[in-house]
Amino acid sequence: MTLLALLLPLGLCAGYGALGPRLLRRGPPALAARLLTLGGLAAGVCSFISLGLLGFAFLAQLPDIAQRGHWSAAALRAASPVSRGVAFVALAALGVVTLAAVWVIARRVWAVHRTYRACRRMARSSPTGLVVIDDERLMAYAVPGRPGRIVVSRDLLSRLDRNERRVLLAHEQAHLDNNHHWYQAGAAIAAALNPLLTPLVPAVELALERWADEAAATDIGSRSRVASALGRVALLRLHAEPAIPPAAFGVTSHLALRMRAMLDPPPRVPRVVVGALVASLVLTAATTAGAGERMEGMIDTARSAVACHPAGALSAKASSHSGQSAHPDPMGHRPCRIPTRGS
Amino acid sequence: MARRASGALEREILAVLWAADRPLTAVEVQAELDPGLAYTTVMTILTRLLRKGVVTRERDGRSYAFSPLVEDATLAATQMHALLRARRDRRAVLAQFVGRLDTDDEHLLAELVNEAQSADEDDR
Repeated sequence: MTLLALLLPLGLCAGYGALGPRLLRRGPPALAARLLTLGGLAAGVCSFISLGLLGFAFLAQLPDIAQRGHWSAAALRAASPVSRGVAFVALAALGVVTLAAVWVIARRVWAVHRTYRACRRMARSSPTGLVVIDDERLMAYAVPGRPGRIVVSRDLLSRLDRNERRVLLAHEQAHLDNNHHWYQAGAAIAAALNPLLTPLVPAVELALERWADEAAATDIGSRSRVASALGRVALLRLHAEPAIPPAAFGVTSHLALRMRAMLDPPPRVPRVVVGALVASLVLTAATTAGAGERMEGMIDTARSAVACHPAGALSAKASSHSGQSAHPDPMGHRPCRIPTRGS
Repeated sequence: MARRASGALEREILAVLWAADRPLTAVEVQAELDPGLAYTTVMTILTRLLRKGVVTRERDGRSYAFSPLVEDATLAATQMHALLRARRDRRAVLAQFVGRLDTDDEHLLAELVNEAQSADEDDR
């Protein structure tokens, strides 16, 4: 039971990473981006806590730590749902995951700090928020900042008609207005917390692009015009030199897919899918909390084992206990019950 | 909507001026924008851009022709280039509009463009 509680978050992470993007593909992209990012982070944190509990199960069995905590290492070993080997692997994984998460967070914060600083420096040189680069590559970027900047190459601007220009600007502005860089960061952190959530990174990226497309369509008042602007840019792009290497993680912008979506009717909220995903997250959080409580209970039991055998509890002999054992209570403690594996 | 329009319109008009290969009069700028936009609005925004120092104007017969002010823009572009040259993880925070495409998509894209154009005509 406890083992299940510890493994469920990991399993749900795998399911969330694999199924979440697929289930939400047809839904409104703003909802998909939010649910995938926040849900991914929640699942990642739950699996991180589960690893932490398993790792703690290993540490707590070390004689030194057991002595300091005044509990019986042997009783804990007997009650532990996993072998020490498994607990050790979890501890090692916990270390790796912690380092990876700290690294990803630090790099993201640094990267965003840099773009914010760059935008601040451009306060005077580009008061409108639009930066045009005299560059023959076809480029358009949204640079996060307060306020952010839209960067476009002159060559791209000169090849677009007025409708396409409006779509481009509205799309990039939507990235900035909705703080899309934080969603990207959230997905990357979730993937660092649990590699099973890695599929969320490209899925969130696509959802953010779609989100900006939908926002541009609302802005301009026509979905088909956004679609044709995307198509024009795609065709321009095909006949141009590769501008900038594909974004990180080898993700494509899926221009054809985005066009298709803009030609289809507006997406509707998939209530059943949203309900199922939220329910699975609540279940994961509840199981993780339950596993934490059980761990606390195990420690309590191991503490009372020390109370029963003040001298011998730390020795390996105690692990030979099986079933319930009640002892006379010379020190006035309550009778001890040492649950063993399987109870 | 009106609040959004102000900043967005500034950028749009600036983009029009950059896209052109010569200075444009207010009437020419207006022709490159949403047809519903009044001439006075265009003129107001152009004046604001002039005051902000991002465009310049010159006499063109009886009216003024506007063009983007290159010096400040070059400065901004230089500052931006440092970011664009940055390593992969730094670039990861930048959202791209122009994505990567495989050549296999070309046929599909051409079809979609046709479909988009006919859908657009239906809209009007």
